Amino acid sequence: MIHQVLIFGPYAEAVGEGRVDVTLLDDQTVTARVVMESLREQQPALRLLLAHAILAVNCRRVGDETLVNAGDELAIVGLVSGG
Amino acid sequence: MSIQVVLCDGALAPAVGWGAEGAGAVVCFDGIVRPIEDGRRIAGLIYQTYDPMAELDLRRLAEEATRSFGLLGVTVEHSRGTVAAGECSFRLRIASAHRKEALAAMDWFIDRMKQDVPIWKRPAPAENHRGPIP
Repeated sequence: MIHQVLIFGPYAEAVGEGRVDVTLLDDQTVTARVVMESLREQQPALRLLLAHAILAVNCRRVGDETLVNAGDELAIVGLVSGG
Repeated sequence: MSIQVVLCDGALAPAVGWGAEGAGAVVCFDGIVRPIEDGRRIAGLIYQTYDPMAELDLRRLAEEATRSFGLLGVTVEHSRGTVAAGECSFRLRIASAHRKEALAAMDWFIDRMKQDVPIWKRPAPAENHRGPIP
């Protein structure tokens, strides 16, 4: 299964896109931890930045064990700098 | 209690009168884009927002501030896109019965926003600048 993950700021600059795909095994229980680990493996340009990242699911920051479902909106937040 | 959150393109227009019933203090903070960033002259800042989450987070912060500090009203405005140096990119207005809670809430809100809310900025380099500011 392929999930799209929205990225912004330094994450988007690192890959030159506003979203990246992460491929997950169909029979895998998908948690936030699985998404982040898969992103680190599949998106080398993001690897260092992801150390400071938090996964948001449907606009809420989530913990590592939060389940991710098909159709959820995923985004990487962190390293923010507003104001 | 009233809370308003606005994300808008470009610089914010000058503030117009605002208050809340029963308020003895209204504090307004305007965040202005500095012309120099890390020792280099810049044309402005380019803001990127994750709109739905930024709006939710700003509203949550306003609600938490209202509860914690006993506020009477909060308005938050933040730019997205390009804001030139000298222009306003962020405005927070807080109304409360007395000044101390409004001033304390102002500092608390801005710290939390910079730490948590999904808004990013990067400098727009000044076109004719060739080196660090002396």
